[in-house]
Amino acid sequence: MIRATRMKRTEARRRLVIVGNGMATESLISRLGTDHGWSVRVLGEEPVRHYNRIMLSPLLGEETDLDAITPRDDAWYRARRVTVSLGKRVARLDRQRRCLYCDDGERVDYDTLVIATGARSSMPPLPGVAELDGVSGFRSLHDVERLRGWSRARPGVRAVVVGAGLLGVEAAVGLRRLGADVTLVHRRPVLMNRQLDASASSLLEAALAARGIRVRTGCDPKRLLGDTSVSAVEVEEGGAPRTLPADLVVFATGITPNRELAQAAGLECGAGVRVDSALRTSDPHVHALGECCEFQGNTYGLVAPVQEQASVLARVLKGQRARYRDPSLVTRLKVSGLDIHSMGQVEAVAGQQTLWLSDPQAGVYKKLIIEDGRLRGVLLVGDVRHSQWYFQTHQSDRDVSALRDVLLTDPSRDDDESTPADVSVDVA
Amino acid sequence: MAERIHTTDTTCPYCGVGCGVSVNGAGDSVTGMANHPANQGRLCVKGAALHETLDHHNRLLYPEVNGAVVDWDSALDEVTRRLRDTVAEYGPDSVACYGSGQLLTEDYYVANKLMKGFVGSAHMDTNSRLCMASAVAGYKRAFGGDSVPGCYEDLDSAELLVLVGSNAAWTHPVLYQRMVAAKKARPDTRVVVIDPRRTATCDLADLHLPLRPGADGLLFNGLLAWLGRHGHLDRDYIREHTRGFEDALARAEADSGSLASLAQRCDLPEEDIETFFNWFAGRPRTVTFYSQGINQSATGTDKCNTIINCHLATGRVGKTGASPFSITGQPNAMGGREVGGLANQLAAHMDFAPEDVDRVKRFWNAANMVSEPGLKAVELFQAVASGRIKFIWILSTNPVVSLPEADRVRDALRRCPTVVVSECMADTDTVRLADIKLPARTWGEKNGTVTNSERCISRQRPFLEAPGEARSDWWALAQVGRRLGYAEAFGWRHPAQVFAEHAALSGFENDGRRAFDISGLATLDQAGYDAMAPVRWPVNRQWPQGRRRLFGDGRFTTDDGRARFVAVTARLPEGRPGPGEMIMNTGRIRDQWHTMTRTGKARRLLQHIGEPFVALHPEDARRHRIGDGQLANVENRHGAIVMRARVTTDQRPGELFVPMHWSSPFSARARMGALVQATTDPLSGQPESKVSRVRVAPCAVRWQGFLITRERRGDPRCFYWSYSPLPRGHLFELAGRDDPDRARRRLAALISGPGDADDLHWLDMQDPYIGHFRQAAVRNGRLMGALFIHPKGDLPGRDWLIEMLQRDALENTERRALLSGEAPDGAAESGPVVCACFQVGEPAIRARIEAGDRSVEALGKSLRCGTNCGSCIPELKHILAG
Repeated sequence: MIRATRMKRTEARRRLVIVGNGMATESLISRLGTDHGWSVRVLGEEPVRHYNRIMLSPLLGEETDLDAITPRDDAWYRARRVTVSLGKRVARLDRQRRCLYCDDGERVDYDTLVIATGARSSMPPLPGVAELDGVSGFRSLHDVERLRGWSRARPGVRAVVVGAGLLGVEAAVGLRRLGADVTLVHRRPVLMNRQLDASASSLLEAALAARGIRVRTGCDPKRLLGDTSVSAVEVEEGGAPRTLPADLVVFATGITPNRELAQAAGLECGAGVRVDSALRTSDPHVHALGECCEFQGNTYGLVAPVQEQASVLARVLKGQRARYRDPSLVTRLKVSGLDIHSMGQVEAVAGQQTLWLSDPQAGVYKKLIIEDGRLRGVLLVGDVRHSQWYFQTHQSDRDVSALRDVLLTDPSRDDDESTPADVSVDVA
Repeated sequence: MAERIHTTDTTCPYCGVGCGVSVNGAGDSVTGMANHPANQGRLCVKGAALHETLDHHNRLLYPEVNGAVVDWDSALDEVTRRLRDTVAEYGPDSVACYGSGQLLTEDYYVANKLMKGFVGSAHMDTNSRLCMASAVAGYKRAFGGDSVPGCYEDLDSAELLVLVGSNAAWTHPVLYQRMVAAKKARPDTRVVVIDPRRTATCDLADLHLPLRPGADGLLFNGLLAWLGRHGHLDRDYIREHTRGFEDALARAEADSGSLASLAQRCDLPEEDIETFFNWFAGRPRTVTFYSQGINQSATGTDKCNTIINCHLATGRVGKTGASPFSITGQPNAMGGREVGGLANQLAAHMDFAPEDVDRVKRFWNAANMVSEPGLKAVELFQAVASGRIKFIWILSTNPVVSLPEADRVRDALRRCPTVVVSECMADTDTVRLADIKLPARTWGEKNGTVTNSERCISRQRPFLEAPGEARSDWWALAQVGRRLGYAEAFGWRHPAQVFAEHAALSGFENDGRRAFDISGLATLDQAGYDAMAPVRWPVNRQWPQGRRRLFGDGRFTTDDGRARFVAVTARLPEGRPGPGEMIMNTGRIRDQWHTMTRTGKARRLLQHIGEPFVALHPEDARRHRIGDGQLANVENRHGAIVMRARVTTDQRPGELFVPMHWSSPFSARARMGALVQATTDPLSGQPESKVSRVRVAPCAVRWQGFLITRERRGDPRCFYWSYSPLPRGHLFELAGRDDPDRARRRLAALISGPGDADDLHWLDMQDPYIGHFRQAAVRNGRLMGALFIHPKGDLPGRDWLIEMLQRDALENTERRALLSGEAPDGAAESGPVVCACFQVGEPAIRARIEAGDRSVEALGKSLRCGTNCGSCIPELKHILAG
């Protein structure tokens, strides 16, 4: 008892500062819980409280509102001894002095710093992208508000979304819900090609078409046309040029880690801020996690690894030993009525076996890739009931040969071994 | 205005119990007739499902000649022309008629009269040959007539019930229930079951004697000798009322030897035999209840007489609670015997003695009276095969399934120049071979009488319009009689007139020597016939209300009025199994009837046992490497069948049991008759259907599965299949030896049908590497069919998919579960999903809140909801807030 009290007092002096107020930060605070010795301060550049970024598509489509995607209230932060400063942009990091300089002139000292500055949309270097109005990424509340403003101003606005990855599909659906006339263009023949195969892609395409979204695959944007505002996208399609009229253009062609603050301070960076398995940067007093970081050459754009990083970092910050390794990734499309989960390999290679199930009329497709009795890839469209079971099984790498007969239909029903494997989630 | 629902009292068309059935309206529902002596209100599952078999699916509706639909006149003209031509060219001996214990007495009477009195051929036999012939011969030898001495009430009052070769619990369920009730009322009653198999009937048994197949005669000879040795004989009765005792006893003693030797030869424990003998000795009110296990034997008649000998030796015949009681298999086997519809009988319990022939000839004013017995069933079809018979008229039975060496019967009918089949069903193995098909009325449409196992004559009354142009068999037969020029002899206009003539013949010059005398009914008019109440013959001047028991006074219908002991040396079945061979027993199962043409229509009757099977002992299963539920091949030199193995200690090692019912419309390779050798009893002509030598082996298949369809589009093209009807569809169990993917593509056509199927949507599951395929088809939200194939048949049960076939609109959760074949898991399925990451539904969340979770974090700990992406946290909060 006495020892605990003393520890608490000494550690209470230690200041933990987190730059960035996104999902990584929220996860980290959540996993730190109430039982930690830090005084925590969060510096958020956006003027609004932390919101759940993966809900931007429903927010854009007005299926939800900001309140609903703002999960934490003041009491929650208070309970964890966290102070949040909103609208606070950090201009510079001084590692020698262990402090940050903000745009508003405030200097913030830290004992330990966490960089969680996230990522931004990559805007391709095409003619017109930088010059014209009506061009946006799809990453932030700011992007959403801008897109909503444009759409409201002109009902039936013609929108072209470039890139049919996860974000592009979500943006297209959100815009369509706002009443925009949406064309989704994708360079490759398969939509969400990092997650889907051709069958799943055609189901997705049908589902998007049913929502009134035009999908053009094999379509590569070359330049934007317009005077001050964009008026069209010039694309190359099947080897021929073509012009798609557009009042607004959304690029969802990838993200760029926000590493500039770290880079300027001399921290080792690749595409992102380089970290080790304790999420430590080249400076032992500075950590980084989330979409801004780079670990073993990988950068991140999905929830699961960020959660795992938060989990590991929380333990490190509590003085526990923890090592981060990339978890299996599950990608979940967040579009209501259109469930797509994907993990692991998308296509089988030699020595692997493919099992599949489909109900095209109902928009259901499931595919499993098996090697030596182990799950190597899972793709679920329209029926994601057993997603979590697949995820655990994929991650635990256990032999599921005994369940093979029901692997596609009812894997968990008779599975006695279905204990959560290494997804121990610390809940504050 | 209260509307009264019309009720028709009639008689069940299945087994020989002959239960009274009350039918509401046009078959809306059925109940047991409370005032019928046979069942007193009870019905078995088959009877209770009668109203489910009344549909017109697969009915034969119009006459056909060589495959072309014709009108009745043309069909009857053609039958007559071919009959006349055949007789003209080859003589009357080239014509045969094969009837059935399912014909009504009136149909039977007309067929018998036509053949034996006017065509001039005694080749008038019946499927009762497969069922009752030995019992008839046994009674005739002992009592001088084919008369069952006892009645069902004897089951109520017996102190000892000995069931021999009878699985009454399944074959005669209403009588079995009566025995159950009797034993409950008087727990001191003892029940002995003598049967190589441990059957459902053994539930009631105080003692089960699982004897060596065919050793029954030896056992009863042993009983007779033992009764003699231990002074349990009724010497007075033997002296006063019988002849031949000393011979019979001497033979029995010589035959049975010591108890130890007897036990060894019967393969039974000595003390069990002794227990049985002691019970028999000490319980005068004994009913020995015997059925096909006795009759269907090459020594069936002798076996019957060893039983009757024991009853005569103890004076237990025709007395309350004491009789040797043969139980018939068919609803009107007894009626057939009464009219003489067997080749070795003439008519009305008269045989071929010159005075009998003369009497019947005079009564009928017969133009071409026969004077010699004709060919019995097995010989009769052998004569078809040899070409001696060139014209055969088969009524209401399916010999291509039920006769021994059934493949030969099939080949014989294929070659026979004229095969006329009167049948209510459009597709049976036998109908498939008919040159001329005559659409018959069936139960619910027919009008006439039947006689059950206790001599009780009951009316079958119509309550339905016959569909199409289906007509009564007696009518069709009489029409041919008229066309042959015998208008007067075949001039009836109503079955009541046929019955009256039959009744008159039974009393014609009957001086009391023929127990079958129903002359008291000869004056019934149509109204009296319609109102006729069940009555046990005789019905004559002496017994106007009928009679429960016969021979109770010790006077029999032999020349001298004395019963006869028959000296028997019991023989075990010939041809002991060679190395690697087994004995195949055959019989009924609880819910099916004969070749399933009627019972096969009712789904619920296929829910107890839905697939043909072969039962075998675990030792044999091990030896032959056959697993429970696997397909097994059973074959001998006569044929081969494929059935699913049931491994059970109910069987004795070395012995198989196969149900008799499955025919070609119901299964690809299950006609057990093909394997039964045509060995017959020399007296009765009844075939040995229960002791066939066969080999059994695992049946190697590459895949197994099932097919459910809404429409039946022909039979599946694969190595093995077995069919069950469904309320709104059809179920096939399947197995194949070909490539499963190819089979799948071929069989799926039975769901989609030919041509355009644009609105048919397929659900597909494939694991091609192991050959596991499942597919289902949906049209307008309704399940149209499903096909599941697996290398080992490891598939879900069929029940839930069958239930889905009943739905007019599938729920989303149901559709999603179709390929799992199992009902969606309620907890996981119901309610909206709140946490998408962990697929946690609202009901689960509410349940946790009920259980005490008060925060998002607590819910996260319990259910993990909200702990991944967190997007559901607001909704969790909302639910928490109530």
